[in-house]
Order: sequence, then structure tokens, then C-alpha cells
Amino acid sequence: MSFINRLKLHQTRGKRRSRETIEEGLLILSLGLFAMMVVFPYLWMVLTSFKSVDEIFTQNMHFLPQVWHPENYMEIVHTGSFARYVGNSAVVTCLGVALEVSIAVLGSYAFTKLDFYGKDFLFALIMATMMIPPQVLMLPSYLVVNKLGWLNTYAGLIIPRIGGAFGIFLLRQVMKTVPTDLDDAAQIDGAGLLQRLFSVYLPLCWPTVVTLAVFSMTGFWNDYYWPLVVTSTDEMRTLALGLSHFKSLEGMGQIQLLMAAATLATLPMLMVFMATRKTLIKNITGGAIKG
Amino acid sequence: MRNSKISIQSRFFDFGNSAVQRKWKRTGQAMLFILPALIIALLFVYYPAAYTLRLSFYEWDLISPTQQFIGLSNYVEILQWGSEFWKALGITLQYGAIYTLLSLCGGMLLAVALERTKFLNNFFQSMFFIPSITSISVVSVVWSLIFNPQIGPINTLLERLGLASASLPQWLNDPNLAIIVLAIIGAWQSLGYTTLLILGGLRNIPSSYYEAAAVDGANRWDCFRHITLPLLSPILYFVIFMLIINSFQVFGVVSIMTQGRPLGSTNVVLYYIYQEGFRFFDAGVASAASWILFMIIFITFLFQRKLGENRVFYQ
Repeated sequence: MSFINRLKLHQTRGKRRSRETIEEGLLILSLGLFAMMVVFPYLWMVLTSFKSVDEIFTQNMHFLPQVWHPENYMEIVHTGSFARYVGNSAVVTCLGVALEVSIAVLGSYAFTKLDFYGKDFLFALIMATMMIPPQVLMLPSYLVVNKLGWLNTYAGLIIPRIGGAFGIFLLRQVMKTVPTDLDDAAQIDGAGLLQRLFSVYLPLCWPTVVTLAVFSMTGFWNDYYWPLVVTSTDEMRTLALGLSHFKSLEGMGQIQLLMAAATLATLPMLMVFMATRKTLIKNITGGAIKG
Repeated sequence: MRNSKISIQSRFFDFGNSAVQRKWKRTGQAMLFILPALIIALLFVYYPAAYTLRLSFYEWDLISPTQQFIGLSNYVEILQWGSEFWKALGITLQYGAIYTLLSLCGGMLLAVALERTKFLNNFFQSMFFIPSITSISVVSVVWSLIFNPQIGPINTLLERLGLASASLPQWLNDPNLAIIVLAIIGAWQSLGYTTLLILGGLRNIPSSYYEAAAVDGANRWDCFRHITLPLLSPILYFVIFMLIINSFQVFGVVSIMTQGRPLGSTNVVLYYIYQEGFRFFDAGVASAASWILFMIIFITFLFQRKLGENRVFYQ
């Protein structure tokens, strides 16, 4: 009797286990399908960038290029102001990230560490800027930049785009978790305010600083709308904006060049992401970043 | 005895004085630290916001030296029934509904799948996030090619599957389909971010709750309804409102892929404002529309906080 019972139990367990395996298989399958949906546009972009014009416009389309044309990349680099766009994007991104991260580090440090008059009010004032989407202010921002004489300059491309609020919010969250004992110990050792920032706070908050830097970097490198507003000359366009102007290549049937340009515009951020993805994903799933 | 009392008193006053002094000193230091952030906030957010409000009561073409006060005329023009603005708002809501639904459902499915399985987990997480770090320009030019009715892979595939070339969907050239295509592209781009946020929420639910429910004989659906959903609700509310607020800000794809075409079927609010301001040089109408859009976003935001307070389960 007990043997039969045990057998029955064994059978139901086996059934449950196999049902779980099937379920897991289905979930993995759906993950795979979604992953393919996510990857397909990139794959198509890269493959098209290696094709010849004839292969793109043919009736009898192939997935892979029949003949690979890496020289498309040489051609796009020498097309129009492509090199100039890349240079502009590099300058804007490097300076922008450096400024944005510095401003956020200094600001968040003051708001965590120092007790001063008007602290709550100023904090609320800066945080409230996150509620106003910058695009809503495009016209008056343009007028301000115009008044400052910053149209078609790097200053105009960079400074108004620096958002202090997000970084200050993000960094303050982690700075608050730094044990005060550590800070006190450094203070007793005679470390000044700035010295403590660099020797105690920054090393401990480094993963969040990296996350902020990557967000800032993708923000500056990928931004389309702000360069559209403040630049009117071709030589001040960034790559993301320039790409939309290269879209006219589509009309001229040079789609492989457009795709080569798009591939080159994606690569730097992809590399940065691959290098920092663990920190980044941990920070997002950890709930540190919302918004 | 008396001496010590005096000394304590004097020390007390001394302390009080220097505390105030020290606070002022710290205020000075703090100002140096936060001044850059403050200047940028005032110069590039608050001043433009105030200036927009002012301009919304004036008629101005951006060039002429005089701005003429016309009261509420701009608002009246915009809010008239059947105006371009209402149409643009309707299109934006249509975009927002499809975008939010797709991104939320996709994100939920992927997050549950990622939480339950281990196979290639990190790889999938990174993969789904890549569109979030891709420029909207790249996204736009690549998807333009993919949805291209003549040479795009989708229509080529449909043709090979036997669809007659006359009945192939025209995607972005079809006034009924264009906004749906844009919403799908938007959802595609935001999917990874949504997934990671929900995944973070799922991982925060203590497994002991599920174990306790299993002891009580709860099935999968009971667990999902009575444990997962309530505990996940703060994150879900956050994600839903984030997506809604994002959808009001859609601009790049429209500007690059359709310019509001075909037949104005993708003319979303922000693109409408851009056109009014930078194409038709009607600063007043653009500013009034900006303020209305801002109020809509602000009310959505307040709504989120209110809902968050009332309905959300706190641990």
C-alpha cells in the first residue's frame, strides 16, 4: 500500500517536473524570439551596409551580401561632412559628460553632506526641473541661446543640455548610504571637504558615477533634438543630427552608405555599453534609476 | 562652582554664535558646489518656462522687434474644436496607447521569463537594452529601410509568402498605419528599459511569500494575483506613467521618418509645436501649445503620485 502511494507521489512529482521543463522551454523560446526582434534591425543595418546598390534594389533579395563591400565604409567617411560630424559629436560628448558628471558630483555632495540655509528649497528647485521635458521649452531655449550668441557653437550644444537634477538625485541616493564613521574618521585625520569627496565618497559611489556617465554619454552622443534646435550650419552638426540629413542618400539610392553611417554612429555607444553593462543593469534593476 | 557655571554659559553662547557662523560658512561653501547646477536650472529651465508663459499671451514672429499683447487669443485659437492642436493631441494619445500597451505587456512577459529562467540570462538582459542606448536617428533610418514598401525586408518576405504586390501594406505611406508603425518602433526602443525596471521589482519580492502561499495551497494564478501584482504595483505604476509621459514627448521619429505625413496622420503634439515655432514663426501659438502640453504632463505626474499614495502596496 505504502509502496503504491510512494509510486503515485513519484509519478506526480515527475509530471510536475516535466511540466516545469516545458514551461521553462517556452519562456526561453519567447526570450529568444524577442531577442531576434531586437537584433534583427541591427543585423539588417550591418548587412545592408556591406551590400552593393544592385543587391539592395534587386527583386531577388538575399539575406547576406553576395559580394561583401567593405569599401562602403571608406566611401561614407569621405562623403559630405561625415568626418566633421564625428568630430563634433566626440567634442560635445566628452566635454558634456565631464561637465555633467562634475556638476552632479559637486551638487549631490553639497546636498548630502552640508547643512546650509535654503537647502530644502534649492533641492526642490533643482529637482523640479526634471518634471519639465526640455522639448517643451525648445522655442524659448533657442531664444536664450541666441541671446547668449551661442547658436552654432559648442557652448550652445553642450551647456544648456546639461541636466543637473538627474545626476544629483541619483548620486545623492548612494552618497546618503556612505557610513558617517568613515567620513568622521577622515575628518579627524584632517581631510578637508574636497579631499573627503575624492578619497571617501567618490570611490564608494563609483559604480553610480559610472552609470551616470554612461547615461550622460548616450544622452549627448545620441541626442537629435537639441542639435536640431541650436545648429543651422552643416559644420556644427553632430553625428546623430547629420545622420538624419544623410537620409537624403536614401532618395539617391545610396542606402548602403546610409547604413554604414548608422553602423558607425551606433558602435561607440555599443562598446561603452558592453564595457559597463554589468554595473548599468545592476543599477537599473536595483531600482536606483527610475526616470 | 560659580566659575564653572559661568564658563559653561559662556561656552554655550560661544557655541551658539559659532554654530550660526559655521552654518553661514557652510552655506557659502555649498553655494560654490551647487551654483553650476543652479545657474543651468534657472537659465535654461525656469527662465525659458516663464518666457514661454509670457509669449503665449503675445503675437510675435520671432523676428520683428515688437511683441503684441493679444490676451488669450492664442489659447482660444488652439483650443477651438477641430483645431490642429486637438488633432495632434488625438494622434499623440493614439501613439501613447499603443506604445504604452506594447512596451508594458512585452516588458512584463520578458521580465517574468527572465526571472524564471537561467539560460543566457545576462546575455538576454544586455541584448534587450541595446535599443535604449541607440540614437533615435539610427533607429529612424534603419526602421525606415525595414518598413520600406518596395525594398524593405518585411514586404519582401510578405511577397515571398505569396501576397500580391498590389495588396502589400504601405506602412509609413499609409495614413491608417503610419502612427501604429511609429508606436511599434517606440515600444521596440523602450522595451529593454521597461523589462529591467519590472525585473528589478520582481526580484524584490521575497520568495518566502510564495513559499507561504504554496503551503496554503495557492495555485499559480492566486500567487500572481495576490502576491506578485500587489507587490509589483509601485513599479508597474511608475513604468506606466513613465511610458505615458514619454509618449507625449515623441518627436525624433516623426521629425526624421514622416515629418507629420502622410496627410498629417503622424503630426504629434511636439512636432506641431516645432512646426508652429520654427516653420511658421508663430511664437505665440507655439508657446501656448507648449504650456498646455506641459500642464497635461504635469497633471499626469500629479495623478501618478496620487495613485501611488492610495493604491500602492507598501511593504
